[in-house]
Amino acid sequence: MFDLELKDIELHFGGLVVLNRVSLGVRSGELLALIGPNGAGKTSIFNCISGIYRPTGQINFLGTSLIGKKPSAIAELGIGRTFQHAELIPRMNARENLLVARHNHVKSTLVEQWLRLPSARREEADHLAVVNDVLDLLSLSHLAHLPVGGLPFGIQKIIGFGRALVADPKILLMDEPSAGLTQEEREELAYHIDSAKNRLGIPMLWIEHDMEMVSAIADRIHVLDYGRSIGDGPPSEVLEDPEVIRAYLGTTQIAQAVDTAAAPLEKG
Amino acid sequence: MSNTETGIGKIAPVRAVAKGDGGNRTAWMGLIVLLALVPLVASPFHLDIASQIFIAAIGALALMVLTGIAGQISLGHGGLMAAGAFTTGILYKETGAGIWITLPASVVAGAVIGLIFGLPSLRLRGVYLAMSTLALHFVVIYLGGEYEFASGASTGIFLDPPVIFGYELYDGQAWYYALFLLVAGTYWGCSNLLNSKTGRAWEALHANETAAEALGVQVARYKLLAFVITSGIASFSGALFAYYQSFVSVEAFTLFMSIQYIAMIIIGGMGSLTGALLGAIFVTLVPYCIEWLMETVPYLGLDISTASSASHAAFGLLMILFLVFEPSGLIGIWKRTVARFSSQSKKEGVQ
Ligand SMILES: Nc1ncnc2c1ncn2[C@@H]1O[C@H](COP(=O)(O)OP(=O)(O)O)[C@@H](O)[C@H]1O
Ligand SMILES: [Mg+2]
Repeated sequence: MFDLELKDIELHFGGLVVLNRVSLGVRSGELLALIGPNGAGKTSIFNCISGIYRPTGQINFLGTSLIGKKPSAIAELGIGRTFQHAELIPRMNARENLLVARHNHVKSTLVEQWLRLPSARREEADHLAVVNDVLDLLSLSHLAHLPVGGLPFGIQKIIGFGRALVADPKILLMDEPSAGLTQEEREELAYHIDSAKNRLGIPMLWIEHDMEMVSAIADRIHVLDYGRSIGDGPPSEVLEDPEVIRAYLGTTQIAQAVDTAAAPLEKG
Repeated sequence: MSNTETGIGKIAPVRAVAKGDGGNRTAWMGLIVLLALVPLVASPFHLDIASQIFIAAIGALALMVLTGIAGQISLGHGGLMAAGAFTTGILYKETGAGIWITLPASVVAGAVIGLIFGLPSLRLRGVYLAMSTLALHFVVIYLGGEYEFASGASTGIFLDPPVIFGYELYDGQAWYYALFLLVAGTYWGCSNLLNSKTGRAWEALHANETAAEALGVQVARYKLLAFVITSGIASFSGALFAYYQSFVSVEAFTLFMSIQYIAMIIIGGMGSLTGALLGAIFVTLVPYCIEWLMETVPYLGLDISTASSASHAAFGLLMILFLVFEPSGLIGIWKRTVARFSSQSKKEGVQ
């Protein structure tokens, strides 16, 4: 049984077919990697799940249909996500950015917040404790007081990952969390993704270009090309599939080959 | 707006959040004690200026929350103050209601108007939103003018000094203390909100509405809430203005007033409550400084007739100068100064 299931998702922008009858599902405790070349429609799938885009087809999460729901209502169901470009609040610090994601857990009323009544203060302290735990977990505590707009992009991405975690999600959607990270940061991120999966036992959908990371920790891979699904299965199988290699892995290998060929020219 | 859909991130200015509260408690306490002692030595003229600053500060705090925090531009601030002033004036004139009725009524009137004029913000942004809030100004002024005309009070409405717990608020010292407390209370309330779920939701939707929604923030609801709360506060300061002047008339609420409030939050420093206070002080003092210049430097060629256009021009110039050279406003200058001094004293300590 899938916790999250997409069936026959179609999405158009004008004449452009972005998603063409895409179907996929994620089980609880499963890490599903979503791979495919740039422009394949990976981010669009996340935006369909989040309710930012309005596709046709079915999207069900734990027995509830997400089609037609507002993004905030969908987030409230426990769908946490990170963004390809982090999308943090630049002038707030990491701690405040994470507190934003506690939004749906805060129970105090406007008047309690306004007058800073003891009830509101106690609750705020509880949320702060959750935030501080996640900051600790991700080794971000020493940066937590700095406005995030001035931090390196890689750090912003990790803060974005923390922001998704702190919301106590029932499913986690991660959009290229490793893009912009150094090799060392990537290894750390892979560890955090893997341990979050084991600790929380929630389904995770993970857009990733780093095949080394994917084959190391993903349970399954779903491959997208020009808005179509062209493969789904365990990493060992999918990464050997000739069609997948041609559509995706081939292009990166070609790109790498071009890079190495161009390098001496630039030097000369 | 930034674009989560296409993945094109917005390049936002990097700025530390400066929402008041922060910094050190002793400095604040010292400042409060100092301000409490002012009336013992100040002349009536200076007390009057201080009271004007306090009224402006309440309005500026409201606009700072709406524009500087929640990112919703408004040119209707003068109109909201007019709404509060007229609600109080009309209620007093027609029913003789006391301050415990007129002030809450003004807050409610402002909040309702804020809700109505916040609705376009669900569709419009930036300049278009500013234009729609401009309509608010003209509607309120029109209605106020109609009332003045219909009631035969074509010169305006006169108000008697308000009575609080049997005490008539009349002399400059009493006004100073009353307004001082109200500014402190407004600042405290706003600061509390900014450091809570509500304020963080405003910051989130200001930075990126799509991302905020995906984090669970009901953007439409929180935008309207920002309009409702800040309009209530702006209207409240308009009511205080009416009592303080003992007089309400549409002439007082020009479009220039709205622009002055925008000048306050820009000059003070966008996104900072303390900046709103600094901006209110600065902008209230500008006309007095120009007057003073006129008197002390006669050969500038300024006289009474050119003074007001000179102060208009000065505002325009100051706003542009701040936007270009000091976008973080007075609060930015202040923070840099403090940082420089503290780093200097650290160096000295090492040597
Ligand atoms: N809001 C949008 N409007 C128009 N076209 C879009 C929009 N969002 C995505 N697209 C198009 O859909 C295709 C897939 O984009 P995207 O989902 O971002 O790909 P990926 O994340 O796999 O790189 C691209 O051709 C992109 O230009
Ligand atoms: Mg993408």
